[in-house]
Amino acid sequence: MNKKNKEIILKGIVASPGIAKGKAKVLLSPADTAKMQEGNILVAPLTNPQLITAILQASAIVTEIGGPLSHAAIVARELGIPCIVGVKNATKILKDNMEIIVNGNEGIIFQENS
Amino acid sequence: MEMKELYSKKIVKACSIVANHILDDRGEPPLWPLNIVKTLWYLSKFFPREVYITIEKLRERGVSEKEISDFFLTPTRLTYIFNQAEFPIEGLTAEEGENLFDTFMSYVAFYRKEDIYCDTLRNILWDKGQVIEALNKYEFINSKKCADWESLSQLLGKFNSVMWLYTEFINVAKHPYSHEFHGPYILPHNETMIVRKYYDLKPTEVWPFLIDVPYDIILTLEIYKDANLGFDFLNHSASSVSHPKCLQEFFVGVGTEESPVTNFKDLRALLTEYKNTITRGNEAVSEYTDADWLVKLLERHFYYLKPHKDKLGENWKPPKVLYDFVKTVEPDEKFVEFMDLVGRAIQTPSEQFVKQLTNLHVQNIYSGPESKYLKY
Repeated sequence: MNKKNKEIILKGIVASPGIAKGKAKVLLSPADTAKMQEGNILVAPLTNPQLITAILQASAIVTEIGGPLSHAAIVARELGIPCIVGVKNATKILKDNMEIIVNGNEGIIFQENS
Repeated sequence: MEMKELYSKKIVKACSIVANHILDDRGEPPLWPLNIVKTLWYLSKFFPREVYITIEKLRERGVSEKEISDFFLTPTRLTYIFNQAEFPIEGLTAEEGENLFDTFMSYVAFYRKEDIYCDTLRNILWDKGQVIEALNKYEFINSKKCADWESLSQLLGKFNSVMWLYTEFINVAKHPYSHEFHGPYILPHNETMIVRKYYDLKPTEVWPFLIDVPYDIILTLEIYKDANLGFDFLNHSASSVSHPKCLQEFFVGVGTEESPVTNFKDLRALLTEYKNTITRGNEAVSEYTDADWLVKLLERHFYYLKPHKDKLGENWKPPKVLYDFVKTVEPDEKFVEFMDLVGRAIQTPSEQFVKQLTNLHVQNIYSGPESKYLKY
């Protein structure tokens, strides 16, 4: 992957492989699932059944909590989408509609510099 | 005296595996719908004791050990109770505690044909003959039979995700009580088969909104290539691959008849049924407090013993005193101490943390305290 013009903004634990690019959507409550659209990147403290619609729309998942056997990790591997868990302060640093790249192979989140 | 001389080796081993699992949470236990450690504090006060009393009654009636184990439906229902040893198991003497948890492992041995602890991430419930029989019996779907295999394999992944979230919901976060994933069964050409049984999917006496759920049991058999899939002691799935990309063939069967779901449209309809049920459930619990969730936790756990209670001619429902307990009593200092311990998981060397937690779990099984909160 070409890392030129890409800035590493966060790191976490590899949970599901793959690379996805898209707009971040920070979900702090079940009501926030309304802002998710197909292909967005789900960013949350953790996943749970209340986020089901958003989970199925996501092209990648980033959570602040958990390890390789956490719920988000298991669901992401089933879906075949990248997932990074244990990303401290993800919901604070990532903002809605921020264009990011989730590298689930290396546990790194990039932001593209314009 | 060394710990291994004092305590059952089976219990020590099982507790060390659970401790390793907690290490994986990195000091941050699951928090939906409430702190899972808090739920385990409540369960430790009544559930193992209830299981012990129920098993003893069945033994007194002459019910065989195999039949009692079958009432638990799967091995994971037995292993998952080890989590509750995060706190002292109340209401059982040290001898009764050892008897109960040793019994769990001997029941697990009825099902798991190789390693009962799944140390190498193999949960083997079928022998070679059963694997061959399954491969011949079920009509698998594969890329040769499906024009758009990529979409179908992704849909199966979505379906399994929905079912996983569904089991998480109806079991108040403790999803392994409604699924038994087993395998991997080694096949030729670097292929492996895994089997997923989703069961007890319609506990309508606990969750009335499940009334329209079409099936109580769903079975899937999935064949993967070059995929390192596995399942641990607590039936969590471990792998480092994207499942849809490695999928070669699969079978989905619904209900006790295992009626096959053979095409994209029908699988999508099945997925939608269970997804919509979760959505209905989310609406039903939107105003839930922690106390409301604890009542569901209580009822769901007693409902796991329904097959046993039916055999005894008893009602499965919990006694009133337990409702009062979960609604009014707050966890004691042991909860704070345990949260403090798991919170130090990252700073503590892994080996030391696991040893510390294993000792705690074992001692909690053998602690034999009087029931502090409940006398019923």
